[in-house]
Amino acid sequence: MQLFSNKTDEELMALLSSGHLDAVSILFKKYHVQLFHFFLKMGNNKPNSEDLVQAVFERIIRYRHTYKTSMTFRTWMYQIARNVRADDYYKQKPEVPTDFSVSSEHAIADHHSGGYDEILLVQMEKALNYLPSEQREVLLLTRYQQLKYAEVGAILGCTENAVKVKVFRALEQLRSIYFKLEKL
Amino acid sequence: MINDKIAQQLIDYLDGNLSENATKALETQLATDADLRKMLDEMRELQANMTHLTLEQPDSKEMTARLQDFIQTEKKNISSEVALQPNTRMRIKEWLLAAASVVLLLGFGFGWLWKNNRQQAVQIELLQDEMRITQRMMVLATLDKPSASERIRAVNVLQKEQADPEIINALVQTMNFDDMTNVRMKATQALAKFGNDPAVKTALIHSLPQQESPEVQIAIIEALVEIGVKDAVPILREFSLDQGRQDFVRQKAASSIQKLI
Repeated sequence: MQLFSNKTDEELMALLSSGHLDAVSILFKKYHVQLFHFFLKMGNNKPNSEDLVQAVFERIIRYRHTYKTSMTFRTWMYQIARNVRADDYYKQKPEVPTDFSVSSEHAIADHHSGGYDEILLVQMEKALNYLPSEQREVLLLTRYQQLKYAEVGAILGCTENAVKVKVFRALEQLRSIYFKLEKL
Repeated sequence: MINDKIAQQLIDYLDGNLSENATKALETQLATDADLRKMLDEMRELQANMTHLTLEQPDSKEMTARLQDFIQTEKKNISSEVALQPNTRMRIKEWLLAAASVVLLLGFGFGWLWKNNRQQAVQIELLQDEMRITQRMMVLATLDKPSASERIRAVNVLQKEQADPEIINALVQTMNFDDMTNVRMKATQALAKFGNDPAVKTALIHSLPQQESPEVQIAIIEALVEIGVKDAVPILREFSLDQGRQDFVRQKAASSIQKLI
């Protein structure tokens, strides 16, 4: 592992491409939890999210020769993650509720035994789930996964400013849902 | 409805990235616009809540073990390729020996024939042709060998030959049906060298939608651009719009259309 210590993601990818397959273990260690949470928040259940992370890293290994240093590894990884999720979508459609007037009541009621903050977080969780997939994705990438706007632009195929507008529209929508849930 | 330009500014403000002057102007507006102030405060609160979401944790131990299994399988695939190499070296030696014998025999043949008449000169030409045909048959036969590295070597030899239907057909078959992605890619690149032949252009266009590997798809798209096959624009357009394809394949197809038209 000495060969892989203190290497940037992009240097690790160069090693991986040249046949040092163990380099991917370092990238996996660094990113698997982050990716798992991305899939989880996008509406996949735990076992499915774990499978999707596995599929992302298998593709990274299989297509290692196609990685171009013109983009960061993280951007490339999330592009693959979106493709993996899209491929999986048709096989296993995630169960995301569309009518929050009824189910959210139960969701919040279920958590009434918890503290005030916990209720707010459940409400937040619910509101995120009711967001359209594209809006949830842009918020997760920028706010939760803390990717830069330029990176998200490269992933979504749009400009940095367009990402900012998407984030704003998503926050507007999230705000509307969140405070509707509060009134229930 | 807040327009896109204002939306960008408000996001910059929430992120603390708005310029000093623009921040002052916005804060002056916020002092009198209670609705906008409320909206920004609530958005700030939502963003803060998002970072506190509690999440399930993955079974990292089990996932790492699965990845290690996959890495080991990949390593075995690579080493099985390498393991074939000593055998390959032996075959190369045999070939070289055979080729040297043929050259030696040919040398004797030349010497003997030199003394004879023009009819024998024709025989020399026939012998030379025969030798070329034998060499070519040996190379073409190598495309059916089990070792991918031997097949790649054969493709390398073929791409230096003069274009003829037999070679083009062999390369097209390899591009379409070889088991290994890298051999199919190599055959594609070799075909690009015979790009003047209309059969190559047609074969590349027909092969593109049949290929499952994005790497080979990319190699074919690059070959189509290199040769300048304008007839490929419709299939490339189809590729660039097909959401089922990999993003980088779609982008490659889209950028290639620009180069062709």
